Amino acid sequence: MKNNKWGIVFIISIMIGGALSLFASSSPDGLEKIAEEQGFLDKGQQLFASIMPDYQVPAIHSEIIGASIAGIVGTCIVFVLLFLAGKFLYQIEIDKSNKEF
Amino acid sequence: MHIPDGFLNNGTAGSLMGAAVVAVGFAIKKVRSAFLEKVPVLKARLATFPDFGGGGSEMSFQNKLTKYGKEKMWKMATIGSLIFSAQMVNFPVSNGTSGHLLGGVLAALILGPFEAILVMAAVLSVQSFAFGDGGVLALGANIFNMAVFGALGGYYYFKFLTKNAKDIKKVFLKSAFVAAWLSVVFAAIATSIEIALSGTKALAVVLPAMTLTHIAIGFMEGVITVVILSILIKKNYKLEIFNKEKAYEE
Repeated sequence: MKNNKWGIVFIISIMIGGALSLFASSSPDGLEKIAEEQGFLDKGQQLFASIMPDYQVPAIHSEIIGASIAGIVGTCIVFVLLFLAGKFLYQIEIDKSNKEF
Repeated sequence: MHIPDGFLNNGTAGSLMGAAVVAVGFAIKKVRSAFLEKVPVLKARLATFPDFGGGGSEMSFQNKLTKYGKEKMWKMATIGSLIFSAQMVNFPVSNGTSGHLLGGVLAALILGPFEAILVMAAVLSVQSFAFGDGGVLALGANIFNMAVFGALGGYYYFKFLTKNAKDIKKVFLKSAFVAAWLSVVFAAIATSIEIALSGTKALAVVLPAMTLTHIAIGFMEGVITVVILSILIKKNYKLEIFNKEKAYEE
C-alpha cells in the first residue's frame, strides 16, 4: 500500500516533467544571468555531447513535444538510477547479514 | 545554479570532484549502515508479536529487512524524480532572470540527510550527462554546492533552527522555509567563491550579485518546499524528520 502512495508521487513527477515544465520561464537562471551581465558567460563550454542538450530531443523538431519527452525521460532515468542504486546497496547488506546470522 | 564547464579552473573543479566523491561515499556508507542498525529494533518488535509472520522468527526477520529496504528504495527514487522534474520548472524572479527549485532541504526532511545527498547527486549527474545542464568536469562542484551544502547543510540549518523547539511539529514548516531559503543563499555563496578561486571573476563582483539574486530565488525555494511538505503531511506520508528511531548517528 505504501508503495502505491509513493507511486502517486512518481506519476505526479512525470506530469510535472512532461507538462508543467513546458510553462517554465525561459529566462536564464541566476548564475547564467550574472555570467552574462559580468561577461563570463562565453567561458562556459560544452565539453561532452549530451543526449538531450537543453532538455530537447534532437530528433524531434517540435520544441514542445521535445521538451515534454525530455522531461518524462529524464524523470524516469532518475527514478531507475536511484532504484537500482538502492537495490544494489541493500542487496549487499542483505547478503552480508545472511552470512553473519 | 548549475555551473557549466569552463567557469571553474581544473584545480578547483578537481578538488571539488574529490570532495564530492568523499561525501557521496560517506553518504553511501551511512545509508547502508542505517539498514543494518534497524535489525535489533525489528527483532525486538517481532518478539512481542509472536503471531507476526507465523513463527520462525529468523524467516520473518529477513522479510522485514527487505520490506524496509524496498520502501526506502521507492522513497528515494520517487523523491529523486520529483526533484528532477520540479527543477525543470523555472519561475521568473526579476528583470529577465529565472530560478528553480534545488530541493536539498526538501529531500533531507523527507528522506534523511544522507539519503538526500545520494538523491541530489543522482539528479545532478543525470542533468549533467544526459541534458548538458551543469558541466561534467564541474559535476563535483555542483554536487558539493547543491547536495552537500544544499541538502546536508540545509538539514543542519533546520536542526539548528528547531534546536530549542519543544514541539517540532509546531515550528516545522516555518523552520523548513528558512532552512530551504538559507540553503540556496549559501549554495550561491559557495558557487561565487569557487568562481572567484578559479580566477574567472573577482569575488567582490560576483558575490554580491549572486547573493542578491539567490535571496530572491531562495524565497521561492522556501515556498515550494513548504507547499510540497504540507501536501505530504496532509496526505499522511511518513517523513524521515518525524521518525523517532533515527536510523543513524547524525
